[in-house]
Amino acid sequence: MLKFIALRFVRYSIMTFAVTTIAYLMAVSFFNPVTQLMDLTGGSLDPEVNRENVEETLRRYELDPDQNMFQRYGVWLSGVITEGHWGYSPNGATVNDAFGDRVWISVRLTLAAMILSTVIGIALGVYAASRQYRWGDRTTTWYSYFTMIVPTPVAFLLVQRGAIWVNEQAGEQIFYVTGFRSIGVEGTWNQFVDMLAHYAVPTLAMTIFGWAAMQISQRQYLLDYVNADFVRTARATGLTRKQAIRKHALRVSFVPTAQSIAFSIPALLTGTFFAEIIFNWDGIGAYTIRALHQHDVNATVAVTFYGCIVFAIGALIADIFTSIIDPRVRL
Amino acid sequence: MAINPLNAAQHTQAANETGGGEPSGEIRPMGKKRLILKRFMRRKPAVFGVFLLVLLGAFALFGHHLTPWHYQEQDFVNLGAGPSSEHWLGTNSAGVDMVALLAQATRTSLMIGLIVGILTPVISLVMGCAMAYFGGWVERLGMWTLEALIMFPQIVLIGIVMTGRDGGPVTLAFIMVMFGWMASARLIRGMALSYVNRDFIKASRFMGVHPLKIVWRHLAPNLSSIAIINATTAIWGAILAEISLSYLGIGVTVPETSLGLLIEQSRTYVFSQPWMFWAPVAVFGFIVISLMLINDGLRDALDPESKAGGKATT
Repeated sequence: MLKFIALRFVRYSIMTFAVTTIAYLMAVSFFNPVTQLMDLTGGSLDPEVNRENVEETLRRYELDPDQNMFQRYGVWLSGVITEGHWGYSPNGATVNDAFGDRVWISVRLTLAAMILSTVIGIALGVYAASRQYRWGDRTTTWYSYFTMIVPTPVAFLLVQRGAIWVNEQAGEQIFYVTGFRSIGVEGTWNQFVDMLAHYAVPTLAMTIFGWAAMQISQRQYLLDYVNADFVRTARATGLTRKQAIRKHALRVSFVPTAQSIAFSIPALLTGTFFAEIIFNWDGIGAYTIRALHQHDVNATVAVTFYGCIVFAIGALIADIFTSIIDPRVRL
Repeated sequence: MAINPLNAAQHTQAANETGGGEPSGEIRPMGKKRLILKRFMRRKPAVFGVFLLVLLGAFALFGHHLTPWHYQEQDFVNLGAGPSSEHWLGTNSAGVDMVALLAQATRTSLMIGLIVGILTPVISLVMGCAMAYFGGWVERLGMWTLEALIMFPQIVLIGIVMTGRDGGPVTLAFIMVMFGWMASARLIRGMALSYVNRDFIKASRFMGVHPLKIVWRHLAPNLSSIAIINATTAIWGAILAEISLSYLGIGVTVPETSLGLLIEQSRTYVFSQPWMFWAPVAVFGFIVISLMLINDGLRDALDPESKAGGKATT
């Protein structure tokens, strides 16, 4: 077990290093922050003077546009390894400072929705599998396929507009459709109500359009076992169909489900792009997109590294989960 | 698709009986392609799907003849105007005719879908079969590449290329191909492993056939049914991904246009000027419906065990 984890760890470390390096070299050679900043600071300045200023600023933040990508990679890598310093954004903020709070915002946005959609997805999957091809199965499964083909932005936009419509009908602000808190709310109870009003809409959107994958896979896993030989044997010993499914088929069908849950836990930390942008929560997802638009090399690479780490942790947890639940798997 | 001899004989016989007019007793073998085509044509919904897709394709190619306006031309008299006799689907907030925009957007989206839908299955088929056939360092290298690509946060990489170089729809499609082949390649590798030690592969190896030719001529066709079904899902996956990426501003950008970009531009007008929002969403819906119907029909046509294609003897 320990040897297995150690081997995996080495493997993921090498892959993370390779992926981060590729991302850095690509970002340095593709991005062009000079033109971006010149547009921002330009105005009435003489273009040559402006360019000088911008390049001077970038040089101060170790983003020298004149160095080639390997020189910059050397400077950046030694900074990361010796001081744990992930570099500056073109506007002078350090990447390290930008991360902490945003991770927390992303977690808060996704946590409730993820728990709800996982629980509902598994429950509906079991429900659908235990009455295959009857109307309950058909409607839930049809709904899941429907939500999977609706583009996420369209779905979230419609939920958001729906909430605005409810507000207009009620004549007062029941739901907030953007941001994660109001400023200047006093008292614990009022703050709690304010929090609910902000959480309700994004959580609803992410839940009702989020359980589809879980429902379909749980249904499939359980169906694979409902007609298996060992369940038939269990029924032959005198158990009812329900008992046989609950005691024998259900437990086995949770093995692959546990794996996908393990993968989704770290996904909490990387946030979601669409929910954060449409509902305007400033988490990791929104930060990533902004970094890309601002041609921010260091922030982009930091996000890539972070994503790799989170993925590796998820994969490790999944392996460990499997070895705990499934006695056939020996690590 | 492995058709065992008995099954194949049954199929040819059964299909022959439908042929009608043939003198009974004489069994003429039917080609595999014609057999699949025949089984596909029996499914009315699938045929309707093809019809719908052809219609959408025609709209994408010739839709700009429906309106005198060009998709980059603004009508300053009608800014954000509703449907009228002059602009059948209204105009957007910049005064561009929606029919012209939609035709161009459908063309972009279908093109992205086609590039991804053709290249991704081929790459995953060849990679999967090659990894299974060669084994050894080829397999190890392939699996490492595959896992590293899965690990890479894809949106970030797409963002680096698309924002850094102002890439167009074609660039976007090729990045999607690069990131789309891994899952099915792994699946196909697993299934190809069971063919590698079969006699027909061994025989051709001992005959001195070039290894790459064995992969292409003997291994790949046996798994092509999976690849074909993957193709239809890859097409709508790519169109869906284009919508998402364009919404985030790292996909197709102005002056090009696409379904995703149209949805993004209309996000604040969902209620006030609904034609801007619902027209691209509806086109996307038609594309997905037609592809789903085709996908169902293909799966049944390619699966020799399937009973869903109807009975051959009617």
